[in-house]
Amino acid sequence: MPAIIQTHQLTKSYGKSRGILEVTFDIQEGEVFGFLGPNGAGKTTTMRTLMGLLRTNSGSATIGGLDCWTQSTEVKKLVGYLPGEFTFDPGLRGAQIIEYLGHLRGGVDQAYVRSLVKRLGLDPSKRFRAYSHGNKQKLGLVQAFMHKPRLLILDEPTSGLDPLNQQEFYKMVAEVRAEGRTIFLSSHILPEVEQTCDRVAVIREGRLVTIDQVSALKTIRQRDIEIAFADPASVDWFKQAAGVTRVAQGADEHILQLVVQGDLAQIIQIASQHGATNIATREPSLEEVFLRFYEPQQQSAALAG
Amino acid sequence: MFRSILSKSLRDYRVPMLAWGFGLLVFMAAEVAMATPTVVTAYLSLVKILSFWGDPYAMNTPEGYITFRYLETAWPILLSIWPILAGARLVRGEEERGTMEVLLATSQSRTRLLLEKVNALVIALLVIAVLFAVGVVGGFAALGGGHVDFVRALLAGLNLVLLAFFFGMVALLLSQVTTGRRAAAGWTSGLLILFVFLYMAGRELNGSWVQYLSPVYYYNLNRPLIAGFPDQPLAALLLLGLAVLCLGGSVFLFARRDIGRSAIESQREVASSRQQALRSLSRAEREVSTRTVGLQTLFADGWSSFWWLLGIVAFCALWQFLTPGIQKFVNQVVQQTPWLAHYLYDTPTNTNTALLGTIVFAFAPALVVILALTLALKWSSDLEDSRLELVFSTPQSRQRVLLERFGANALIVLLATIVTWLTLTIGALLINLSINQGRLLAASFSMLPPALITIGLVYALAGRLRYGAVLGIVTAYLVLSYLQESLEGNIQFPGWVTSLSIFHLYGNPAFLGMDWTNFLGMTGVAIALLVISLLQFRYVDIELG
Repeated sequence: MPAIIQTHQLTKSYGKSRGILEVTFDIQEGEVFGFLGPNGAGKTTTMRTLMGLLRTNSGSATIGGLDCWTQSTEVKKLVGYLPGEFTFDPGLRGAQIIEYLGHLRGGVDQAYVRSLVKRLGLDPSKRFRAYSHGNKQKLGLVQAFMHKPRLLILDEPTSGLDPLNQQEFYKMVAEVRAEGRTIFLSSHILPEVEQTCDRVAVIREGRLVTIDQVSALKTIRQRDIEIAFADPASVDWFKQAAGVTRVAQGADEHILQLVVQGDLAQIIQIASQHGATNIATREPSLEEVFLRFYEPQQQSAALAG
Repeated sequence: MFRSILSKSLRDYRVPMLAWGFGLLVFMAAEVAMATPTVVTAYLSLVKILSFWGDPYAMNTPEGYITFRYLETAWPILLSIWPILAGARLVRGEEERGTMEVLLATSQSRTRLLLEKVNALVIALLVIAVLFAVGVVGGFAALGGGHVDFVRALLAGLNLVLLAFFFGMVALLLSQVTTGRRAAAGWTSGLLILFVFLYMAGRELNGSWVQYLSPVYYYNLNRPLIAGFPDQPLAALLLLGLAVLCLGGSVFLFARRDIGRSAIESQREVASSRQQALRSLSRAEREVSTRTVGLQTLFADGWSSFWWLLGIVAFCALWQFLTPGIQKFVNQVVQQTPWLAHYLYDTPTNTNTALLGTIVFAFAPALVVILALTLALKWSSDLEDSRLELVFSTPQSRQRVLLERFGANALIVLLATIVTWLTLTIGALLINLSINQGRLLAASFSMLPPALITIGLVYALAGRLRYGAVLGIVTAYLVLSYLQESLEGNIQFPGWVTSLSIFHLYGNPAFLGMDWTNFLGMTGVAIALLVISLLQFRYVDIELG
């Protein structure tokens, strides 16, 4: 499958404050790609850069082989975009906004617009200022989907939607996938990512931490291990051991807590050398796996050290 | 500054409070200091012509002169502008920004929230009154003679801000029944103009009862600067009472209505059925306004532009109506008054066209430029408020969106020049006034380039600077430009300074005819600013608000 989105060493900084740093990933045509990360990690910056709203400091980004900055007008013909937050002239009615954006995009099937409005239960006769957050989100989804774009870039698409509309949105995503179109969405809701996405990338502090199949992330064997010793224990014993991503003192000086990925042979050997009296292991949930990716680097380092 | 709603609101008001306060201080100090016996005596001869403007009293004194010329009508109108805007956005602005819900999620009651914000407005107006008094006292100190003490000056300032506060409270009340702050500000501005007209009309009709309907009448029953004037404190109390009544009404409605909705139409909005809702899509399909960015901009600016154009028509018609009756007398007065002749050194008054040029085209270019500024600033505020995020996600190039917005603004400004020309032309036909059509055409359409420069300046700055900075820079430039041109007869400016003023470059086409060099030069500058806007807008980030 050809890549519809390609970024290479994409960097955007806002003076001293962080933006994104050397973000590189590809999204294949026809896949649903999830983008995860804590607030301020750089998800929105990445998406706005792809939409040609922000100019990168370095690196490149293309959609459908077109440069996202120099050919942004052409790029937008391929894309439906839902911003994380958006506002509009408060005096315009929903129907006017849909019609206006439809004219600016071109190629909008009015029957499909009506079906989207019905499916999401949007009242287009209200003025923008009268919409709740959820209804604004529905309006945003209608305008993003209405021209059946080849690629949908959706920044937290289910934010503010009620469970029924979330389910409707998942169906819409499934239809898009079935038609061979692509979705790039950001989300904080892990079951949503599990349900809708083929692959997922995690971004933290402006850098991509990982990118893989959702199923692969699920199978990461990152185990929590608690080892009890007869004598006081030192974290230094395990710092250099293979597969140890974190080690910390436990409830008392006789106990160490480790997070280990992969084979446990070396851990067992070291524990044995220092007179371990008990070893307990536990496999974390997918949510915990993601939460570890979300933790600030300094905190991770402190835990590791 | 963030300890309470009061202190936060005061912080929000600090820039307009100080700008208006110190502006008024400097203006009053300068004008009072210049109110020498020569100037006062010279002005006496104009009083008969300008009797519609106000009720002359003790005109042979500097206090009477200053009161008549500035405090009867001019400053009450000008100083009411900010309180009207502040009153309209006091709570409606927070609702439009979506911050009201956060505020109301705290333990503050709606009544307390509104009252604290009003208190901040009152404090800001009191500061302006004090600064006004300082300016007046300073001016009289420079003039010599000890005409007015600080208490009298302060009372005059308080009377002035009381009227402004009244209009602010009217705007606050109207903002409870409208769905947007712009509508509330627009309606209150209309009322302000109506009340001024009622006051003028009532006096012109020999004390007709219609003036009693105008708060401006009650404001003018007190003239604290003039020692011998029979002040009527009850009139001030009446104004205060009306303001408090509006405030009480606002509190009542605000405490009971839905946030984000009007107090009188919230149910109507809620009650649309599914079928009605879908029909709105069909209606929207037929609307011309949704076709392009330019058309959408034109329709969005429709009502406010309509009122502006109507105001320009009324302004031109009024002066045209007055011109035949006063032309000979004005010309005679100007000829016999060296000060006035010096002031009007480059604008003759010996024909009807010339007098129209002197009076109408001394102010009409400023009106058209302010119209251009208000239109163009929406581009800046839309960028800052992220209202264009979705528009920029469509396959419209940035340059095209900018050009269409610029074009829509330019079209309305062009309409203003056409309306000016048409009003004066048709008016002349109706009252058999002989005017020079060529010069009238030149004077009307020469207003276009300065307005285009104003729009271009806003667009050139808007991509890089925040709304507040753009507003400050462009407004300062326009005010300085106008002042420079107004003071040119009295102060010699270096040539390069005068050439920076768009009002100077506009010149006097009403009696000199079209100055093609300046017209084309300014049009060139406007085009250059547009090109700069387009070029730099290619590279800027579309920031989140």
